[in-house]
Amino acid sequence: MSLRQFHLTILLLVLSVTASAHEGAGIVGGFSSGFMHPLLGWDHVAAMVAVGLWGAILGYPAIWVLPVAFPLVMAVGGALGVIGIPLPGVEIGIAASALVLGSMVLLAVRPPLGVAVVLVGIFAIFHGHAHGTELPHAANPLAYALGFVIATGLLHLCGITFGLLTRWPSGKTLVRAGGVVIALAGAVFLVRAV
Amino acid sequence: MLRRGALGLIAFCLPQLALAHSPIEGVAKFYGGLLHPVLVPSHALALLVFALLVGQGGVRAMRFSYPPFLAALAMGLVLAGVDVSIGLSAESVLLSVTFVCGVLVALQVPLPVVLYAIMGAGLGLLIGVDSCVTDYTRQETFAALLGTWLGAAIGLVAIAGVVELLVQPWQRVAVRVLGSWVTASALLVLALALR
Repeated sequence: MSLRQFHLTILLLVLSVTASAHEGAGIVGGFSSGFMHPLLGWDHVAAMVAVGLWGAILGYPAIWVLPVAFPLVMAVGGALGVIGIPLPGVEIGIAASALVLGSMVLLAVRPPLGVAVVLVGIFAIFHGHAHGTELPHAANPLAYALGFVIATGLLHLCGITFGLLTRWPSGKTLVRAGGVVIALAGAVFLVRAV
Repeated sequence: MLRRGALGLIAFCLPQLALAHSPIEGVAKFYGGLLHPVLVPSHALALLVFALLVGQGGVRAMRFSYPPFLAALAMGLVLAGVDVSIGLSAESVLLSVTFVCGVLVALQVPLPVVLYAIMGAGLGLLIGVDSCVTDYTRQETFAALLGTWLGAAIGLVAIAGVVELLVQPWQRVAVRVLGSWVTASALLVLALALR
């Protein structure tokens, strides 16, 4: 072995760092897996952002009522999933949520607040059930639950902030274009789910 | 020159993270206790949501909730120190209290002051009793429990104080959203206990 090879070997040995072969355990592992669960599913992301966008289109008080109501109803769906009560057509419901909510944004539909809350709540049950079935396997269930609820809320916030562009005429077109993208994605998810 | 360069590079790569130690004996236990309410998720969530509720209630709620909370917390910690249990699953009870407080925060309902006092006393006692320490000397146990009392007190007073200062409508909404998140998390874990 030449001197250069020897130095290179030593250098490589020194440079090596701790292997991260496993997912984080405990609180951190539970939180990160819960946080990533909604973010890694395009169907979840599309629907959550659509809730925020629609809230922004509907204006006050829907802009904050929908993001408060969604996690509460989602938790009920999640509880059903945790307990093991089956919910038929979960994937179809999630895909339909992106299609329907995207269409609401596209068409700028303004139903009474109660109707909007009920519609969003129905879809929240499906999303919650999908997250809830994963919860019993989490490293730390409470941290997992907190992680996915926070991620969901932040996705709503993304939708709301983007939806605030409706204050300007060109922004309204952009937001409705966002609705088109979400509705089309929802249609694709629905075709795959059926 | 090449050898020196290589040696210099290796020496540069060698340093690892510095792990500093506590210079005063017993402080580590006190500090561990101080962080305990933050590091145990069920305690942290319960404290957070109760602080949000008290902050929403304003100065009047603070006046009626702090004394019973701090007194009951001290009592609970003493019970934990002498290894007395309440005989219930403390986490489930804490999560139930968290759920109720979270719903009240999300709805932003004005409450009678006596309810703040009752909830403060109950929560303080639960957190205290559930903060037991094992394999510590008497002095270390005292340091850890004192740290826990102080950590929970600081957490409650600081968060409630900040929330009370939030007067803009969007800030009040943000507090309610936070309440709904905590409620949802607590409900899910309570459901897990029913399996």
